Amino acid sequence: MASVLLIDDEPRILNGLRLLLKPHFNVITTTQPDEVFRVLKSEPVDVLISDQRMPQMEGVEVLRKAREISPGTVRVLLTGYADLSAVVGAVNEGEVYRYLQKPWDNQKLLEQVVDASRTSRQMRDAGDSAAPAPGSEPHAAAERSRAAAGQPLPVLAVFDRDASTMRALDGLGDAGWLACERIHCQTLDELLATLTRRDVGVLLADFSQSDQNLERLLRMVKSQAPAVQTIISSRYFDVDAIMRLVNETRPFRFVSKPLDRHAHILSVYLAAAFQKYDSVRQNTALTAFEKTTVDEATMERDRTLLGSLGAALKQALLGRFFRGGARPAR
Amino acid sequence: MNRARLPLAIGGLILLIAAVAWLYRATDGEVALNIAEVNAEFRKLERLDADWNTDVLRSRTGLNRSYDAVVQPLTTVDQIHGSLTATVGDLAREPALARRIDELGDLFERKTTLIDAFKSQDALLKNSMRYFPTAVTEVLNGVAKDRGNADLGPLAQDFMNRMLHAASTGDADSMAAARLLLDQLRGRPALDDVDRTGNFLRHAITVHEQLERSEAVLAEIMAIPVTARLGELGAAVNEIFEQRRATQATWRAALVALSAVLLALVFVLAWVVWRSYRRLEDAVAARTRELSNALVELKETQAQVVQTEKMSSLGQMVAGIVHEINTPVAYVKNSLQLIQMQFQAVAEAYAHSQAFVDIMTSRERDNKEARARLRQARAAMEAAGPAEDLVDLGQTVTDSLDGVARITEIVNDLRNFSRLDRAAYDAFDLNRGFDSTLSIARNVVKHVQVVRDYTPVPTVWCSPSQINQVMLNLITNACQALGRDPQGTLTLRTRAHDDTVQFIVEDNGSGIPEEVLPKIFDPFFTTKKVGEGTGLGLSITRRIVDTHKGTIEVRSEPGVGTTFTVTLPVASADASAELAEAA
Repeated sequence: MASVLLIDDEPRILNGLRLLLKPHFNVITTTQPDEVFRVLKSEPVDVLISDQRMPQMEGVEVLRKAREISPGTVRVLLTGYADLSAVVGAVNEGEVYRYLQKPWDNQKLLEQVVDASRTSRQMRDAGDSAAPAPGSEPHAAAERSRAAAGQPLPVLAVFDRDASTMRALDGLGDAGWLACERIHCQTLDELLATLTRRDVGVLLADFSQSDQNLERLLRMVKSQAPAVQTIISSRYFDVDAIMRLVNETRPFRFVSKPLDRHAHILSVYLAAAFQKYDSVRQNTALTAFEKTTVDEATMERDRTLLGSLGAALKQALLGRFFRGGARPAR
Repeated sequence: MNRARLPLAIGGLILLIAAVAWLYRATDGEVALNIAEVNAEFRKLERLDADWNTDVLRSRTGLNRSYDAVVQPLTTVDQIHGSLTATVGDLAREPALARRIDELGDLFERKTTLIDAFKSQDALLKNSMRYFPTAVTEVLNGVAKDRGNADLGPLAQDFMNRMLHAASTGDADSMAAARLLLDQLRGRPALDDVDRTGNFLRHAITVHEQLERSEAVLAEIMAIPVTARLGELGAAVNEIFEQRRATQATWRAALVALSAVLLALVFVLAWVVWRSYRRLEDAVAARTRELSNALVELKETQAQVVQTEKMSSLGQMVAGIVHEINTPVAYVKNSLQLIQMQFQAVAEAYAHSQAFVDIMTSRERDNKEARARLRQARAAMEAAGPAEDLVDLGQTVTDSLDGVARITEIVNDLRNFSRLDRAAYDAFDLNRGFDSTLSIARNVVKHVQVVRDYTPVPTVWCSPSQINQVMLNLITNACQALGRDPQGTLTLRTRAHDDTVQFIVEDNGSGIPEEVLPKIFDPFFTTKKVGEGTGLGLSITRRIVDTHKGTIEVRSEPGVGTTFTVTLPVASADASAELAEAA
């Protein structure tokens, strides 16, 4: 039986969740963050569900530490009222798998937790390398192996028209992953075409306009090519939009615009994203973590709305993904 | 007007004014010389000279018995030079005129000298003439009676007549005739006999000489060109005067022109000044408009900022309250859904159990039926879970009721805090105010230890919602100063004095640096990060206290803590009315 660890400062919440999950999981509840870390160290935990607002420690902090202690544990943030920094931090630092909102629907929450536990199991089976530390060797190794195999490097697709973004990217120098080609896409069609024709490893997309079509495209990319890592940039973030994006398009990181002010962070994120892309490509089991909550009906609607290119994209991505996945794992 | 051109224009104007003044003075000289007077004076002198000449002639002809008439002008002549100089006035300074005047003076002097000479000659002549008839008679009676000398008598007589005639008229023919006669008389030796001729010949020669000399002097007097010179002088004076007048006319024209220029300049200057004034006025009007617009904008901005501050405090409070309410809502919903989920199975199990019990307790018991019911009941019970789960479920019901109670409590706190459903001004108990504010600020104060040091205080007539806002502001600030310090203590005190009450918010937090302390009530002053505070909290707090005619004091020591003391008057009925009006 999979085990679920719950932390909330309100015992009644823990009690209710325990009653809900008890028939299906081995449920551990606590109000103390230290207890969370102790449990994570002492026994395997599949899913960690943390409240955000707690007196001793914020949920993001709990998730971040939990990720260090037990990377294989799928992290879920249960939040009633979440401020922006918490939500962004949960992605960037805690690599949160899902957001759950208070008050929740018992049935849906149960489904999510079941899904999370399954993901956790798959990832553990895959070798527990879902979140290697940034800057470590695997990416360089992957590059070398690609170069040796005569395979082209994945490209960075940029869907962002701001001059500040260009400056930020130009100013990054030529470290590691920057050997990758950069393709600037002015329109969504161009982006679709690029995604279809090229081996896009990382997509840097500007979400300042809260473009619904971009959201659809991101959903489709994630469902068809889970290895592609997305970095979402925006001038301002809306908590609801971020939660939706996380659950439905699984962005790798969020970064605030203008990017030239956050160039260093951007370079760290880009390096990590390419690394993650390589990891997922080499180990298809890791795609479990890239799963979204989008149902088939929504996907179908997205395809319709995105038009014929959407279908082409699906085919192309599927083809590429499976070719890539078919490569012998190292 | 250009700044550089202004001094230039002023300099030019001063020069122009100086020029005009000088021209005015130059043209003003005309009044000093009246040419008509000068000419009259000249006419007078001419007449004087003419009279003089006449007098001289009259004296010769013996018409003037005495020389007085001749001598009289001499006194006048002495003054002529001075008088002429005076007459022509400053024209005398003209060298040409001065020369002429001097010359004229000399002429008059010479004439005087000559007249003096004439007078003495004439006197001698007259004397000789007076004796002459006696001498002629002696010739007639003496020598003429001799033979051969009978013609001497008529000759002498003729000579005398000629002489007399010449002496009185100056007739040149008579003089010439007299000379011929005298020559004839000289040729007669008979006349040398002095005793018999009574010295006639010598006398005749003397008279003749005298007459000639007198005539010469007279001729000389008459030849002196006083009149001509006087005329010339007059002409010169007139000419110079005309010149001067022409010059003056030119100057005057220049003066008029300059004055016109000056006037024009003054007009231009006036126009420039007027235009500048208009521009200034326009500029001032524009600036005034700008300023009043800015003021309006500022007021709007201030209103907006105050609103923002309210919203930001409100937002923070709402965020806390949302969390407070959301948590019980979450577990109430959870437990209701759990119950809903279980209820079907439990109800089914209950139905089957009841049916089983009915069968078992009925008289004709159908065992088959009973077994079926029992099986169904057991299946339903298994679906519903173990009995302790139901106990747990019962616990969630208790939790839910607690949750609902909690929500009710929060709603009541909110009502008490906002008092939107009460009068704006009301008698207010500070202790209760602290309590309701603390409930609202639960989310803020949950990390600190709260000490309530209340004393019974009289109620204050005030706006409870505003005083609550003050309390919330001070409590929020105190909690921010305390951070997550486990030793952090928030102390709330109330104190009653004679006609005032105090509420005190005290923390043992970081304190306010001395240099910051005087600024904390300033609008927009904040030590918080951008976006975390508008810097208006304490400013608004003080304004609220001010409108309540109260005072707010702060004592702070870095590292020790901060104390805010708000003192409010226990308002009288009058003051309350006033306060209500102010609101």
